[in-house]
Amino acid sequence: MRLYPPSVSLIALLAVLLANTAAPRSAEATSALALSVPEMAQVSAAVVVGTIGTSRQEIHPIHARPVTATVITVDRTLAGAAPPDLEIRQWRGTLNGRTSAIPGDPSLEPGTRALFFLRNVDGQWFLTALSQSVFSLGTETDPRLHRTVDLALFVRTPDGALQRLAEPLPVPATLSAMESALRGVTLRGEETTP
Amino acid sequence: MTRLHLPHPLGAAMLVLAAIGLLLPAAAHAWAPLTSCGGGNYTAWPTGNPHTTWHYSTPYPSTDLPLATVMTVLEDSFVEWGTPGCSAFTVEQGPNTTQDPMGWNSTDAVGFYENTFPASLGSGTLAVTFPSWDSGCNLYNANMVVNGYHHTWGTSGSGNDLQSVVTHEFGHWLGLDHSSYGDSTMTAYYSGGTGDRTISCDDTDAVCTLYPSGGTSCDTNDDCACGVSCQGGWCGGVVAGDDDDDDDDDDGAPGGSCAGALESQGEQEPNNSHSQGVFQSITSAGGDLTISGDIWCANNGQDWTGDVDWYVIDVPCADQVRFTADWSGLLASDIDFYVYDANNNEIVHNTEEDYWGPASAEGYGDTQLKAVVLCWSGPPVSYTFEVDWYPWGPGDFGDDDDDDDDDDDDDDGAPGDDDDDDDDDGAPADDDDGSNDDDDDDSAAPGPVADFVSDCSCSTGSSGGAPWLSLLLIPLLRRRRR
Repeated sequence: MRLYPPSVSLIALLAVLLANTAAPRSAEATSALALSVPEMAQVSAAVVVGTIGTSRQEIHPIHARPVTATVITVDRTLAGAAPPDLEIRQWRGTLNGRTSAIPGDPSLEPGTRALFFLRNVDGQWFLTALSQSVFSLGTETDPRLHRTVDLALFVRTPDGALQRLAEPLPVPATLSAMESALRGVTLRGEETTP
Repeated sequence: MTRLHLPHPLGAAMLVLAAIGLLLPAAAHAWAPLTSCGGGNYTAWPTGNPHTTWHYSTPYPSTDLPLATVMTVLEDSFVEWGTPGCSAFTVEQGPNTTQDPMGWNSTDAVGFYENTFPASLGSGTLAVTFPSWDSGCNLYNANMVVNGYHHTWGTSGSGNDLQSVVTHEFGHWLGLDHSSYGDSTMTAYYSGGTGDRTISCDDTDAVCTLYPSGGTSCDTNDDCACGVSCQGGWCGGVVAGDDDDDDDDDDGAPGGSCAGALESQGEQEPNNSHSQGVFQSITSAGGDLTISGDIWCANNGQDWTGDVDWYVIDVPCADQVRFTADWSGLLASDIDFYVYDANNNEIVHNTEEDYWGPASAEGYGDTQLKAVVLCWSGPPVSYTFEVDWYPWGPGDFGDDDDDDDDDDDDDDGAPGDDDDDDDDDGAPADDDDGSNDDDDDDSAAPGPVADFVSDCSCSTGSSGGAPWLSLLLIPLLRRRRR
């Protein structure tokens, strides 16, 4: 148990509240490689800004898991190509009274406008790198992009070993900075299962 | 892995401190549960022993690491979460399974995806855990998949260290979300300090909230809540000094309620077969009990076929005991031990494959303990099995009279006890109570020497053995997991 002075804890509480209202609500964490913005773009089919819409649940044909498909209405494509409306599929949902969510796969809150890095595999859309792929957009008074990464992130050392990431990788602070960061990056485009 | 921990007087002190903390302006933890059902009800495995049983999925093996290595890594990663004394979390490896570890209806399976990996998770994902829970926040099942399709796995600092990743994933398995504490195994950005394979104080806080035992034993500061240090094997340490009674709690009260004479029996050595027909009485040493034995090891590849040593230990009160099995010197021997209560309910076992100890556990030893030691493979091996009566002190096996872990009451750390009284002056004299006997237990009774058990319900005939033993050995013989 750690005890903090009231002022510190109050600030922390406010920060948490603000983060929870501004960003798509994050779920849990899993283990993944930390990807920079260019790296994430290189394995994506599109980088878009859109608004989270309704979702529906289906059952995965092979693993019989609940899958949630959430509509994203795209109003801006920063890189790659994407249709005006697309569905992001995530392995989460409730089936027969049991709820499951893949740790680190963010919960997409309807009505929230955000920036997404997306893969397209066999015609279906997925987040490129779980919660690393979603940035909430700033407000008029604070136009900065925000990202809540609740993955356990690893990087490779020069000799190839895995090492936990100690500090967040730098990300563009604003939408225009993101566009600049994506300029010149070749996206992977649509993939097909081998 | 199974560890049981007992409430301890210091646990009560910790609760008081925790209660005081609640009165302070802000008390915060950085860890988070997968989800909350309100009222402090977080996602967790239902109470049980073990809380969860995991199964290795044989159709989904690693192509990078040998099976034995993978098993060791998985078990070590799970065990890490049961290390803190305050954690009651228990987990056990069950039989291998053929279930798909990514399947919705799979039951607590662990495996490697080597030929493909779902696009929805991304190629950068190293490993993922699939917990599912019901509306009451009870974890229903969990499965874990390691991405062997995009990544190659190893066991040390070079390459992808499987244990670093799996230890984190098992945090999800037991119901944890991410943490904002920098050194936590469950944090996104790890600032170091404890190593990726070991849990931090924040992780300890988490697992002990979800699975509290009330215990306070520790090996390192990370086994204690953040801000509490591990001193002398206990979170927060013990009270300094010695009250010269027959326990280590230094509370000024007479020795623990289990300070009576011991009455125990066990198999008489040498006996290197299934036959359990010869009994011996076991003499206590200084109030605690130390049993030494030699055991032969054998198995036919499937079942245990060798020697088994067994003991019936009468607990002279309804109270707690701590017990440990310790063997050393013959590292190739694979020894297991099981401890049961008077009703043949298992209190604890240690069946780690190729495990060479020492192993320790704490448990309720109400009225009777029944211990079985057996060996699966390797050369013959000597071992000791020790029982320490509550209340005990740090490092106090075989010694109940002080708290500096030597054999006297002066707390100077030097060995030596003149075995007559508490002043260690070499002269025969008082016992602090004037009893002038030859021990330190502050009672007028002679020093503790066990008698052959007279009130034991077991058969003491020369051929029958203990009736409970035959019942227990049936599952033991079939329990093997190779």
